Amino acid sequence: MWKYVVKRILQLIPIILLVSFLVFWLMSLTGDPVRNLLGDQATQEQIEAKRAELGLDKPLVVRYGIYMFDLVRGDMGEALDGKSVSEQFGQRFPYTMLLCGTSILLTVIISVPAGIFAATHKDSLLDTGISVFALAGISVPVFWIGMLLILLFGVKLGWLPTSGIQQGLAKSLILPTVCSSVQCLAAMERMTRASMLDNLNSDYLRTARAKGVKEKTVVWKHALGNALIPIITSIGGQISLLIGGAVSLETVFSWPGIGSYVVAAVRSGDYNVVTGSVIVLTVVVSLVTVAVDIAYAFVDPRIKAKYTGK
Amino acid sequence: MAEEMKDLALEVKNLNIRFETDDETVYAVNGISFDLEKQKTMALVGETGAGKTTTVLSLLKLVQSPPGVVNADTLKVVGNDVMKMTATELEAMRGKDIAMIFQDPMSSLNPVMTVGEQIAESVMLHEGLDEKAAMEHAKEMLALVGISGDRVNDYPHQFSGGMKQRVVIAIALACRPSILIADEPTTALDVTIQAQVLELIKKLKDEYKTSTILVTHDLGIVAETCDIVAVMYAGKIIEYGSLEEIFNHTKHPYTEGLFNSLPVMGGDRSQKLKPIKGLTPDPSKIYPGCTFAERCPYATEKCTQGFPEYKKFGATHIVACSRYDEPDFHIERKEID
Ligand SMILES: Nc1ncnc2c1ncn2[C@@H]1O[C@H](COP(=O)(O)OP(=O)(O)OP(=O)(O)O)[C@@H](O)[C@H]1O
Ligand SMILES: [Mg+2]
Repeated sequence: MWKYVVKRILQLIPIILLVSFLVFWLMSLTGDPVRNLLGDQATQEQIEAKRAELGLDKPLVVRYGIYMFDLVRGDMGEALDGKSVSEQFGQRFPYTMLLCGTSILLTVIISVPAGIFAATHKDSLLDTGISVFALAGISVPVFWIGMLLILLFGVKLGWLPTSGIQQGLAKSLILPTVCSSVQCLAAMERMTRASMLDNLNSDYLRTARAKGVKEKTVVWKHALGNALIPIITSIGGQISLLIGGAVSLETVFSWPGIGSYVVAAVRSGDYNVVTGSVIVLTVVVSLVTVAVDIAYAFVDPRIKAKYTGK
Repeated sequence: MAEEMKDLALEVKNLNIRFETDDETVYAVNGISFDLEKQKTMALVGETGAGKTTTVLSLLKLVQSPPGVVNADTLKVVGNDVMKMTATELEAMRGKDIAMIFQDPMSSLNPVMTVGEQIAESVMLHEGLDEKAAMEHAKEMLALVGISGDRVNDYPHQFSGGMKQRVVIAIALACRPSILIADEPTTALDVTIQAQVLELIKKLKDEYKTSTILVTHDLGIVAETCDIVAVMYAGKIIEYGSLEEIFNHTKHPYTEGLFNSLPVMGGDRSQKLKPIKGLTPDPSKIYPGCTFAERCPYATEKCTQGFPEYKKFGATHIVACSRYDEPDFHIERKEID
């Protein structure tokens, strides 16, 4: 098993190198960081000098090599304002992860039971009700939900902070968490319902029932045990989406995470911040994918057997 | 007079089951009645689609619903009416009073649970054993069906089809049920293993005094294991009787057809097999007359008007065929005394 885990992580390396190179290359096309740094009045000589100083006169591949070498050692270079990117990143990263964590937790706690309920009460009034909500949840844009939440709970009722974390972390987490969960919730409820329905009329559930197993155990142990694979896949997908979605969400709620950091950096053309953040987030998403694959082996002995060769 | 003091394991009167789907209604079982005495083995034979599985599933109240709709005047398992039981009562009955060996071993086991857990589960429920004791029992059950007890912690995918079937059998037998329903327990197996499994079921019948319904379309198996035979056609029992009555005094043209479509051991090799011509009737249609009339070589005009009444021949022999209204009607198959 461990061998498999290590193998999967090693397999990530070429993927990460490729993606990071693409990011690096695309960033180099987006504009001249030196011009951003020195402003419009700079002379040609000043620009050339600055380039040489920053190593920008070297070929792309060499620059990439140097950049990655520094990155691996935890040095992401300097931002336009002269601050260390690694330091800023290190401060903000936990906030993004925290928000992703609470969102996925809320999503799973609500959507999995809701999906199971909908499947076991197929075509009932509540199932239809849940379906309507889920459909609405999938179709409505996140930023719009964010606005609504802010207007209602923040402005009108004044119950919850709508911006930043100054009024206490726990309280401040509520609105962004709810907002980012809505779409995930809907998607995961659909997934859980479909996956449970696939299993609820299967032959092995009939065997379980024929043994006299209680319906509750039939559903939560036998059916859910088999429905977990697509549900876990879906959780992995939602985490990746949440990380991607952090960009807009954190801006709406002025959340001090990577998302808002990157957005600001894109606006000001802060080359190092954008490149570093995007590469690190790519690595995180890749790790989530691997974690999902490994989780499969724990819920399905057939998959585990393939890895352990048993 | 209904109080004939016979000890009945099963009592079924006028059982009807239909499946209502969006585009059609399938009439799978149409007014079946039979009793099963304790410690007897009854064969339920008939072509594919005759409604055998549906019939036996209803005894455990496991007909999928929707789309299934089950109606019966009486549906009693060891004296208790299944139609009136609460969910809890049903759960207490299943696996203990009545257990079932399912038709398809490949899909009947939970792929993410070890076979030991799956056998132990019902023992823990019905016998109140703790997990450790139940696992020990599971090992014994595996050994009983000819699988090494060391394999309790293996998963279904690690077993062959025949071994899976034995695990399914071990699950059904784990709590020594009073009634065992075996739905084609050997179709998925090769011949040598078939014999072993049948031997096992017979042995258990003697040891545990189980009453058994054996669903099959193999008359050879019936001859070897059963006391009573019910022949089903299109959701109805068209002939019912003791093994001797059915095999030696065959009355119904359909049953005759079943025998004629069998190769005879040691029989005249030059004689050709005669499969029953035609197709099984469309179960979504209601036939006014005898459902077998279309394919019956003896059918007359009268056969298509009204389902034939059951006529009694021997002590237990019952046949549904209108031609026997004629006093000297007989089928070709010879009676053997
Ligand atoms: N869940 C279901 N939904 C709809 N129709 C069904 C369902 N289960 C069974 N049927 C129909 O009921 C009829 C009887 O099926 P059943 O499985 O009882 O036949 P069988 O005698 O066991 O056949 P086989 O020998 O192939 O196992 C068939 O026409 C079948 O299509
Ligand atoms: Mg069947």
